[in-house]
Amino acid sequence: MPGQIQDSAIVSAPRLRESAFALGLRRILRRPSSRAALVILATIVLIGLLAPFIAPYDPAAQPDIVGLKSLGPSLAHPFGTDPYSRDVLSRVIYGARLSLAIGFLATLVSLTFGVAYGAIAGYAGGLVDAVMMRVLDAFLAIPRLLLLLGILVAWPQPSVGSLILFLGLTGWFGLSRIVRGQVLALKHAEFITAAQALGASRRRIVSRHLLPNLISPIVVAATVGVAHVIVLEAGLSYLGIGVPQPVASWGNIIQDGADQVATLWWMSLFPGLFMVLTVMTLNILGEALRDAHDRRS
Amino acid sequence: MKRLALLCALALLAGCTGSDSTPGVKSGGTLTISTGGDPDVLIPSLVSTVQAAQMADLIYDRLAEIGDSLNIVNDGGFTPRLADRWAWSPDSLSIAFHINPRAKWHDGQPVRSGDVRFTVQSTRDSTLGSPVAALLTNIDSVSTPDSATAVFWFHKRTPQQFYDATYQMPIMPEHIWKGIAPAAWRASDAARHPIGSGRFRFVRWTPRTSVEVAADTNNYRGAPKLDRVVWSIAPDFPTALTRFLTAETDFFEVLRPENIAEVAKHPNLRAQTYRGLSYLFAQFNLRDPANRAKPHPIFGNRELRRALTMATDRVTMVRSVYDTLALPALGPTVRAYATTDPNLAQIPFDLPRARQILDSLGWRITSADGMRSRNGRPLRFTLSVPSTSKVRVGLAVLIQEQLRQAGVKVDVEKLDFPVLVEKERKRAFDAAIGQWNPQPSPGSVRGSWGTAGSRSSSGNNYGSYENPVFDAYVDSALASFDPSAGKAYFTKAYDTIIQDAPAIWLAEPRPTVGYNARVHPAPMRSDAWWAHIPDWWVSASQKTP
Amino acid sequence: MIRFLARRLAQAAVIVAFVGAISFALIHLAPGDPFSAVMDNPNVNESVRQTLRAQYGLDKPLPEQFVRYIGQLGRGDLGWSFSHDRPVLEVLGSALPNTLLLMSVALVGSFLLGILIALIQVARRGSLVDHTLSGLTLVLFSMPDFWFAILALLAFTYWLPIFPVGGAVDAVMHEYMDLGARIVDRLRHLTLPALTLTVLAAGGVARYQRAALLDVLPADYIRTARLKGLTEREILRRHALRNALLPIISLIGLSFPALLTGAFFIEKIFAWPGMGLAVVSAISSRDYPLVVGGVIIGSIMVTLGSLLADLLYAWADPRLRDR
Repeated sequence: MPGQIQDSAIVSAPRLRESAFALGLRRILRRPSSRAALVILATIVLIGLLAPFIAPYDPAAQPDIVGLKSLGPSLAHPFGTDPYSRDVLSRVIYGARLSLAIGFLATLVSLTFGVAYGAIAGYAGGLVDAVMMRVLDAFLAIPRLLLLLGILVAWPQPSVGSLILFLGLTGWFGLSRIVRGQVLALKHAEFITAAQALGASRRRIVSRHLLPNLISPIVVAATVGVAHVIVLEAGLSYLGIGVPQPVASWGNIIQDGADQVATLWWMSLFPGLFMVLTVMTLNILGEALRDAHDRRS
Repeated sequence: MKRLALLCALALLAGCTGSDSTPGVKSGGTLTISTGGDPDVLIPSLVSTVQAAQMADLIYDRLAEIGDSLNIVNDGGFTPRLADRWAWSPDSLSIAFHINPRAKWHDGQPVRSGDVRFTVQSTRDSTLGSPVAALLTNIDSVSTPDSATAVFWFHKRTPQQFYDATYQMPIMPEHIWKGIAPAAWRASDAARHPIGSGRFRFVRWTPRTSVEVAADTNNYRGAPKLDRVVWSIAPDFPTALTRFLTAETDFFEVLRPENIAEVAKHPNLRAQTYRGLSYLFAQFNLRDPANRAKPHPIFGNRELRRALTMATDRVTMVRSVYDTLALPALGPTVRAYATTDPNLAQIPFDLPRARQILDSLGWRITSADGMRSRNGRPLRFTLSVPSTSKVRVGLAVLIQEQLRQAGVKVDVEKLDFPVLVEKERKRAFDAAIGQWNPQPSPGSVRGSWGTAGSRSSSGNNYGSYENPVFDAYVDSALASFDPSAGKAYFTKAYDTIIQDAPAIWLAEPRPTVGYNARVHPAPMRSDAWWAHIPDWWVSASQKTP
Repeated sequence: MIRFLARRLAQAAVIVAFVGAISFALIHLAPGDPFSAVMDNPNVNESVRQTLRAQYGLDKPLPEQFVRYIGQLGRGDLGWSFSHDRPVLEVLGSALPNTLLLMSVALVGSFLLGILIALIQVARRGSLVDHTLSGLTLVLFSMPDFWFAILALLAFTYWLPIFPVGGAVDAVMHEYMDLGARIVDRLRHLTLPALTLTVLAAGGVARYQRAALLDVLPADYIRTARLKGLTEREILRRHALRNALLPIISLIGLSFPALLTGAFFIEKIFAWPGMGLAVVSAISSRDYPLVVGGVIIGSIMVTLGSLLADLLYAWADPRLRDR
């Protein structure tokens, strides 16, 4: 199959007006590591999406709090059970659903803010740009975890929704600086000047010329951003200030076994492995995307 | 040489009979105690954490010490401490304590009757804010006819007079504290360098690292067997436990069932269970947190509270969390009290019946996930637990799931211990899992569940359960000199409160300590395992400096 | 150079001032009064309460509170920590050296280790060694700090108990040790947390450095060197590494936030008495001023870190210096 993809790539290469997306994707898929990463990530996403059908048990159910608690991995419970007799595999599966959803949605929030802020600053230029960039510098100087701690001490026990919002609102600073840089560079690029000379409207310039050129840095930032959010959410849940009980997230499961790591090792190991795997595939794809972008420009 | 050997043999024999004078074997060494937090304050009348209680009890002495049987009627079982003897007045309305003439503070000053009077006065000073003050209401005054005699005067004759005068108040040195306003004690330098008269003297307190006390070698009651006791302070209990399991420390006070299996794997570690005095409960706030004048929108209803109790399988929950290290709680009491009937009638676990009651109260299942509501208000509340107590967090998650089965939504809120207590004091909570470590007297129930403890702002009845019938039975019980009458009244009191269900009575733990085999502990007293630390010793061959 | 320095310092000051504004916003956007817990607490001294009221001017209009707040920050006053009953600056100040120690050891260690890995990879690029190390650094780079720290703790204090469990010194014996033993004791406690942070950070450094070296290798002067008959190893050492020094310096500035974040989790898990442990514990005790103080100090550290990197960069790259 990979061979076929390459063949078709060669055939279609000369074709005009090929979308940046398709081109990028083909570049990325040329690497075996990215192909593997994509397959693994797709599998984890699928597991998350189909969680209610795949998970063998209800992730919150406590079937037998005396007889089934804190059991090591077995055939009936491949990832063991937790101190409340809940099935860890089911929780890891539902955790995938939650962690990915949080990662995806929070990144969406970040993207919206980051692109808007960066585009406005870059397009406006002058004093507006200068002030906006100084504010951004300050936000960039606060490590994201610390900013989140500051927010969470004010709004303790957040719901999943507000947690997504917090994670999203603390994740757009770097992106918006990239966007602003691209906008600045493009503003003076020849083809934009040409479009302006031809009398194209502002909106047309933005939607037809600016945005398409912004897409690949945004996609790169988003891919790595999802990975960051997943790790942060797990970290916060591990500190006990993330997702509330009895909802399962990878960080939460680890927290549930944190005081007995030595005896309940399966509660740290399995969700942790899933987390590393997800983050790793996202990083591989992010790097491949960046390389593809760099080579083109 | 031969004579020496003979002496040693004799000494060994003496050792077998329990004499303290055995040389070599029973003296010296350091005991290190693993603990999960700093003490709050090392002033006996202000202590509220268990760490601070341990330290204060070793540094300070009371007039007389309660016996291991924890008898609280008159002075039976009490042994002399700062007071070497005492005398009751013929009408029993006053007790004259005679201060041991050899007793000295750790700075060399003699202990005088003025110190006793000062301790009582300052403890009752409202600007100090001592939690003990409320328990001293029967003491009218203390007079000091001479420097060696302190006379306690009481308002009325009660069975617990002597206990009231001695148990609550380790004696503090007047010459250290009289120049400082009570409101400033907590933050004072003297609080950081306590001077007492106990068999251990304070050495140092390095916050978040350790507290150290050393043998007071010139003590009027003789030097303790240990040279030193050090509390090794970890930032949390899991770390404290690991330090104990890896033999970095000698002693850990709150082993859980899963830890006991660990301890059993180490040949040098021992676990020991003793009879404790604590009980855990999930307490409901019967008043609206937003407006105390109104009943709580959910918990104001007695039938609903009973239904919540019925929906929780307490016996199984206790087994899940504690294995065999706890029994289901009976009510606001413990089995160790002679006045507690171990067969008190309970609200049974009956989920179908609980569902029926909730239905009949108008709380019907409305949402797709099976949760109940009434007039648009969901049957949902927040259950607060201290984040540091894995046991209570565990119980909360179990309750959350069990009540979900009944259609009740519970949000578990984990708070730092002081923050939770603050929330409870302000009555600003829905429900909370609490634990009382009551005193040897069952009368402490008055403060924690009686009307007096609900109305007073410093009272411990956070849930504002108020029932005059319960109060009356408790008062009658406490006034009875006849033990069987007292027990009968307490049974009626407990029956009343259990049926009113102001809390789900969860567990009565059998506390289990872990210690390194090089340490030889003395028997553990139910209210304070550390009471006999001066008699503990470390094998000479396994001493650390 | 002096003008450059002055400009960067001014920039850093502006950033810190903005961080102050952000932290003010954090305090005042929060629902309810963040100080209510203290204000109503009967155990809190009246004098403390009054100081707080005066400090935050809680009765004054918001703009005035803001000016007052920034003025206080300017004087280095971060407020009062409720849970420690001490000024925030004192609490964080006493914990900061431990955090700095952990971070600096990890910074130096991770750069040495990371650059070494990158050099090995570039010297044998395309080989199995290169691929294996790439995989390894990717795993490290993707590893959540707290999870790796848990595994390290489990492995080296529990299964293979060669390191002490948490803390910066032996709580019991340290006071009784002579100077030499105290140093050994400190090192024993430092090793595992510092090593964990080092290994975690080395992954990113190695990946970054490998890319930087590969960027330099095709350059003309290297081709010239190759023509001159220098061996690959010599080229790497003499030319490529020197030219890849600039990216290393800018990476120092970039890696500060990650290092600080990592230190927070590591301190929590290894009970290392640093700033991270103080701030993380302050969350559950709702010790607002301490958390916000941590945010400010952390940001200052990051700002200073990037300032330092910029200065190093200017020193290493004359083109920038003369501008």
